[in-house]
Amino acid sequence: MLSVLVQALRENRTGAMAVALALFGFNLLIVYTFSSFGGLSGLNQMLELLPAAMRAFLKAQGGFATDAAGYMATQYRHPIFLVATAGLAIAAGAGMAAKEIERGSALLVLSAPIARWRYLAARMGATAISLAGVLAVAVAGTWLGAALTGTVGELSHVVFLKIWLMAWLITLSVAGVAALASARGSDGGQAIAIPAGFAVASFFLDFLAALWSTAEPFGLLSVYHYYDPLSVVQAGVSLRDAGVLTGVALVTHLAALALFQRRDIRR
Amino acid sequence: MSEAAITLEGVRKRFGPVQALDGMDLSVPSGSIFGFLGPNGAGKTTSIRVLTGFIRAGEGQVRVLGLDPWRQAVDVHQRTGFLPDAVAFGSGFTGQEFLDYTARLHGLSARPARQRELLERLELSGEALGRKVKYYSSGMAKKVGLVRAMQHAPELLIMDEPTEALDPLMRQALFAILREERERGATVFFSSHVLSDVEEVCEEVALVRAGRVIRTGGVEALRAAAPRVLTVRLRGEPPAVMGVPGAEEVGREGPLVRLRVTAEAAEVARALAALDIEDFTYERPDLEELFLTMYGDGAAPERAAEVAGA
Repeated sequence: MLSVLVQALRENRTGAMAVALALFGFNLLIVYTFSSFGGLSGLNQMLELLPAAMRAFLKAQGGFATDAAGYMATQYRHPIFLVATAGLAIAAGAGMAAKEIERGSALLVLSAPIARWRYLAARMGATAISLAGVLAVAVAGTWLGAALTGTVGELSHVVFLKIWLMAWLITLSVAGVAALASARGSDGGQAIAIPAGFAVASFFLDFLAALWSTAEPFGLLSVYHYYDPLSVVQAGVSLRDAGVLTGVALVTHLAALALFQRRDIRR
Repeated sequence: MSEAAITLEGVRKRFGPVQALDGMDLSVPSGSIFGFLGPNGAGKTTSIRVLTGFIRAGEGQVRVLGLDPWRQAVDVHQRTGFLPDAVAFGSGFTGQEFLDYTARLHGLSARPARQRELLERLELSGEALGRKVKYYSSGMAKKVGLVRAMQHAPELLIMDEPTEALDPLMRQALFAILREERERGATVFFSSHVLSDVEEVCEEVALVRAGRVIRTGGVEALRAAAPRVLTVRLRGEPPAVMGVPGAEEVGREGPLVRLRVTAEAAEVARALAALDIEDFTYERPDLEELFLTMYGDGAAPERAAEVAGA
């Protein structure tokens, strides 16, 4: 099982490093832009000028809070951040099983004496480790930017850890859906399309719920409803949010394991 | 050759509207090299996927080395070596890394002695193994797949089209290895549509059609029981009816007439004496001829079943 985990980490390595470096640079850049907006007051003034839809998009309806940390937290809801992390999770998820089955390489590996569920669990573990590493590098970008611009003194180091934790949980939730699609299918394209559709639909459900009161109750159905970095900075990690995201990640991963163990592998 | 290494009893498997296996019965003796023959779509690959635990049989009983390959897949995989028809690898591997990885999955050291021996026999150099597998030719990939299947010295080898993409020298090298495996006590399940290969290396074969075995037996026995091939060259225009008892004409070109004959040799000789022949050959069919007899010209399953019962 350890061999599979190590091998999967090697396979994920290039993509993970590329995304990690990109997010590191992106987060560093975002922190540097803080002062160019004229600090908090300038940012909040600008925010008030934005249309409601744009503020909902950034989940910043209440402003950027009272300190720099609030502004920095919004970069973890920025579409670039979400697309990059969800994309990595989905690619890794599709590679767990469906892509291997599609190209036929699953046959040689799964004919080794290792239970299918253990094989998949090892690959899931590798994905979870890769995502944790990528997010740690991304958070390090924010931290470095804050340190270089002198704002780190205003931030508690624990805040970085909390943001990292919630970003990891939301990414694992998407990875779980990807793992489920991958464990069920034999087509790599489909194993990417299904979780990508889930992530996009989930994001827009949350977006709509924030904009339109009629849709508000449906926002609860979106995983992104439970991912609010700004509130993490302001009020700490919500146990409900962390619990829901952990539950989604666990249920989807466990369902994928059960499904993969019992399915026919035909291609 | 005491007990069976593989047993299938009444195995059925349906994929949507397609009945892939339709009451497959098969028994493969331990310590044999067993050929598994059939045209495309006959159910060979589905049978192999059932034997290797990749597919669950819909009905019937499956035993591989006395184990249920679906429920006891890990134990079955520990004792078997599998070569799929199309060898494909995960991304990023070199050939050596792939072999080491799969050796470790079998609980072996990264480079077991058997791996080194097989690499030498199949002429896989260190330089070639150092290249990424994505740059391999299909022949190279097949050789790495063969080493992967045999490096843990399994009790049973299940091979789907093992000679495909191999050059003639490598085919001979593989046959020698397989014969040694048999001497060691291993069983080789050799699925192929390359009849000459099956004829050369297998002692027994099963012929498959439409998801079931239609005939099994020793290669020699099958050939002996099959119609002979009589080719006659006449001095003049051949008569419309050749008058050879129990013969089925399968070809005619000028003075040459080709017949499939089930009658005794003496009867054939008597019939030929009445004709003005210049030359003739009277041969046992090779496996290819037998294959064509059973599958060619759209032979009905019922007819095939009759042959099976013969």
